[in-house]
Amino acid sequence: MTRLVLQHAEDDEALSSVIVNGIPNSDMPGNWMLGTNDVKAVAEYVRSLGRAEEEPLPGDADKGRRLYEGKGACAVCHIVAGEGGVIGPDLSNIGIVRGLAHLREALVAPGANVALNYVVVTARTKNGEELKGHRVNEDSFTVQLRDESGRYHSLDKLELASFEKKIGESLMPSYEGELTPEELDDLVSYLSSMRGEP
Amino acid sequence: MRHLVLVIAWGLWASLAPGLAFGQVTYERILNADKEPGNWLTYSGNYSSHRYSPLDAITRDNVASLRPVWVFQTGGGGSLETSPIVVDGIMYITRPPGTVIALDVRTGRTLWSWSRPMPEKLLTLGFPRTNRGVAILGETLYYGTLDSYVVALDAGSGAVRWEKEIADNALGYSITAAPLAVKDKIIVGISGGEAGVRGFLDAYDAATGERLWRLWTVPGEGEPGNETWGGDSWKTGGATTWLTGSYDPDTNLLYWGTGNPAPDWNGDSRPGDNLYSCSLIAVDLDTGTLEWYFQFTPHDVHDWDANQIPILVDANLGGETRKMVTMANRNAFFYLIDRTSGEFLLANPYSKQTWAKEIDETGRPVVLPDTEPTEEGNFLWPSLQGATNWFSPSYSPRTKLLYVAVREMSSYYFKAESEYEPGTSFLGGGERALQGDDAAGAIRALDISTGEVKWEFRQHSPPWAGVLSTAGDLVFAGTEEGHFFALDAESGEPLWHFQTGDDVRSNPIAFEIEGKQHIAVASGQVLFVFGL
Repeated sequence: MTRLVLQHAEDDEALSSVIVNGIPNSDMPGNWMLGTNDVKAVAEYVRSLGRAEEEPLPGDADKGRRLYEGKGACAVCHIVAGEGGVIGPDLSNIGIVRGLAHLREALVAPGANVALNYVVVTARTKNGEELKGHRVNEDSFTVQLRDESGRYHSLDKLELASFEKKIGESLMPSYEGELTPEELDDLVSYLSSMRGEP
Repeated sequence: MRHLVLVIAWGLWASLAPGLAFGQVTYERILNADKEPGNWLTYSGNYSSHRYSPLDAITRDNVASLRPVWVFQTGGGGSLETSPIVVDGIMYITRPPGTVIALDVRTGRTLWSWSRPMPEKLLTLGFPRTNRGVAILGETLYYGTLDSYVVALDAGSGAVRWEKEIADNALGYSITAAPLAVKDKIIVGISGGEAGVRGFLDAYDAATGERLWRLWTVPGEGEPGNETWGGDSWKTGGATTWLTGSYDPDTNLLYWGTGNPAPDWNGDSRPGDNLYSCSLIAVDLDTGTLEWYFQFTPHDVHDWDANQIPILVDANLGGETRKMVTMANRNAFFYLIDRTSGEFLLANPYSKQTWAKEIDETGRPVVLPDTEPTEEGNFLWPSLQGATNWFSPSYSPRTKLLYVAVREMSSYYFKAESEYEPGTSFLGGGERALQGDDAAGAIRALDISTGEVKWEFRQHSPPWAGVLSTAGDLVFAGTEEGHFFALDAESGEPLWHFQTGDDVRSNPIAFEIEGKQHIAVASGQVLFVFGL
């Protein structure tokens, strides 16, 4: 939202349409409850975000990159520009979609704000098999779970002895106490610099 | 072959009912719809709106073998909310924004299709561009359009017999509900509450399209109830009639739900109870006279329309059999009302709610303090979409249970300024519903005499699909995640499910193909027909 040019809203009319109707085939819903003046006000606010000055980085992004690749071992689970693990979300564009505060929170309290397809779940089959992983998808009858090894499990809820959502938890460890405050600043700065550029 | 089968079906009917033209759907046939369960003759299956099928070939023991026998791809236009009508081998469905399609029930092949082009400046404020089905009477289908026309189509060809504009779409009036055909009349409800229209219920002559009566659901100056609106607010009061109602031949009354007062979330300009919004109205079929009303949510400020299906039952209450009308209301309470007099009998919550302490002995909610929308947002259960909504419940006379698809969802309600401008949204606020794992759904079985929850089947997300019960002691319903499924009607045990690949946002029906029971339901833009 800190960009001057919005991908789905080149002009004010398109932006108003996105606000009211959402973006088809995406997670962006519309909001039919906003009146004409409300839509104008929201559009103006969205435009103002693009004019806002970028927040200064709190640390050294280059040092942060070394932490990412070394001490932090972030690449074990996350992919950037085609390199790294795939258990966690792709971070190639994370600096575009997340602000500094959100990035810091993700490092020190990773369970605080988990996307729906990364909710941690545990399941126990009637055979006694224990499974833990990300809930990739779920419906009233089935759940699709991806464990820490990256293996998918397709489960029928009616066949499970137990199934539990671990709201507030994450498979990612907290870096609070693992990294110094300066190191956290450097890592946040590196993550914020990831904007899909080669 | 197709032609041969249909001719045989019509021939059989003609031989059973001498003197009637081929395929004529008389009022008497609809009145006795339960006696010909191979067809589905009216929106909710019968005039009592039970959405119950006396067919019993599909049972607990064999439902696991249910499979699709054909699917019909409507090919665009938006999500289907249509409830099919089935008559003598032909199924009639609707596809948004303005198409009626006749299908051969044996094969799913199209017999004819009719479309009404929608105007470029079509207004559908506050609801999706959808349609929920047609009515049939004689040899004619009756269809309400998004641009506020009622169209009579020849059931055999789709040719237009008559069409009539009933309200001005430029003001936000629109039709999404299936009409109700009773005797020689076509009863039509209207949408547009979010545009500040003044609601009404209409009756039209089935043969000519002449309007026989109109009942304004917001009383005009000098009429009883007008004093429940401040100033001129009644002129833009909403209280629309956007879902098909029920009919009792003994009382000769129509039972119809009405929608929210406008503007939705800011009631400052409309002090008072705002009659007859959020109400059940009982209307004389012949004259359009309001015989009685019952208001579920006086001075509503949460958009809790009473556009749910009124279900007519004769059931035991306190050792006495009463003629009652029941409604699982969007405001999260189940109600029992005497359908001859409008007397309030009982109300109990069937879903989580945090807005009313209780319903008092007169049927009026005892509203808790600080539950009105605010500028900052006020948190409340249920959400704007309510504990249930337009999708149908079902009543099984075998189990004496009412099956309701329930939305367990909460919202922050916001209040804002709102000034009426013709043809624009007239809302006065909005909501932010808590989604994802903070929301869920259920099919709940309610004791028809008490509203007590006998069992529930939990759903992952709040549903938008209706319920069908059958004499095979099964309950069919759908999920937002694409499943169409069957439960044991007595225990709620899940017995069968099928992944349709898209949201199920329609009402299922049961009917026969060549003497064998089938079930139909729409999902996404596709109609599925299942059989053993």
